[in-house]
Amino acid sequence: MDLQKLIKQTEEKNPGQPLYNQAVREVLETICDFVNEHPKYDHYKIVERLLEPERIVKFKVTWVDDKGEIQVNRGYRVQHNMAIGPYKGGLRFHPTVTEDTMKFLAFEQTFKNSLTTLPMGGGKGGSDFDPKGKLHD
Amino acid sequence: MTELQKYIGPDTDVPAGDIGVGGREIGFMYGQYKRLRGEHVGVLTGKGLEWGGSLIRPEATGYGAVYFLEGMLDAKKDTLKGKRCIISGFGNVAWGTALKLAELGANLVAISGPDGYILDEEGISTPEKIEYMNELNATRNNVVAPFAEKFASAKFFPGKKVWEVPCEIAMTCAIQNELNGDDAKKLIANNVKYVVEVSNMGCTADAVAELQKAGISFAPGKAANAGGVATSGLEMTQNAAHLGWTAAEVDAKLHGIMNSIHQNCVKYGTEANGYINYVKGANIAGFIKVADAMIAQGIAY
Repeated sequence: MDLQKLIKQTEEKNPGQPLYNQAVREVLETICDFVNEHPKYDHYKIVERLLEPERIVKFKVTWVDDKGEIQVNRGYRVQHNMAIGPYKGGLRFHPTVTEDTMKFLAFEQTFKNSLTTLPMGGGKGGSDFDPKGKLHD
Repeated sequence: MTELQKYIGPDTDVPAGDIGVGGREIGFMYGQYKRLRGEHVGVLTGKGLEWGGSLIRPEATGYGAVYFLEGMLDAKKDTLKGKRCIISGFGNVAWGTALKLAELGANLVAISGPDGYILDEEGISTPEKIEYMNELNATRNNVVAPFAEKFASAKFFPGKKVWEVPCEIAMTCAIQNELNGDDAKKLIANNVKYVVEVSNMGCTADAVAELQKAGISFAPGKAANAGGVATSGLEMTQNAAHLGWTAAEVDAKLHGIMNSIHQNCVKYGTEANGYINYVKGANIAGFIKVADAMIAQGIAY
């Protein structure tokens, strides 16, 4: 694999997503030598294939707050890779949540879940909804 | 969940909690899933014990991180007992980490929030103090300052980052990029020996580079915090088999998984000079399994 080319390509394909690019760069830099020692991974373009999530679902969430006001938020589910099991990963509710956050977390999740030795693929989801101050009890 | 339920299922995609999503939120979403689909299945993890949850799941991320830390210490013929520790955050992950650190005799002296940090030289190790983290978290105000009002031995440092506190072990338990290059330099100057990323990508790339350059033993989140998702996996197993394991059974399986993750990191991350590059080890070990599975299954994705 050509490390610099892949990093550059990822930046071009995912503009305005610094977290995703940061996560990808860290992984590529550390696996580069290993991948190049095992030509089968390049032959099957495994790294290139891992750099594209299998699916990103992005949807509108409309709801009514305690004061009766209508609110609009975004919901996400990034299904990154299911090669070794069903997509698995948390849902984050935080005002900083963007597609970038979701993509970086889903990408990392695939590697993490693989490490656990259990059959789980990688995914992540959530919303830019802020749970702060929304007590319901 | 009304929209999300179209894309998930016990054998396709199984979400869990994360920041802002705890037992209460999982409960509401699980209820809505059942209302729409009429199925009581393991479509979410982090469920309540009475309706399909697993023992140890709330503690799992923190417990797992400390088990991983034990592996790091052991690799250097070192032990956790009496070690001065600091962690960022005071949420669920910080709580689980504090519980296990206390159980294993470490000396946790600082926790933090977005508003500053708490330093308690008498240690944050009693059940009252650790449980109070949960209470603070439950208020959803996202401030740690009240800890110092509640406990006389604790001091609050407003607007400061916890990484300025001298320690041997530092663990990020809050959010991504919370420990930067300058923070890493401060920790190194104060003779930190182990840095464990428990939040996902808790350290910036600069911070990781500084720590590795200084030869500090550094664990990346994807290895150290894998105990959370691993225990979610154990919850899925219990759901699929319609049974529940005891806390001791789940804890033992978690411990075993963290040990095997540590061994894999050592296997693929040990460099010529003996330094264990956990980032490299975790990425390669994680990559191999997924990559080989993809090759075996053809050009499916």
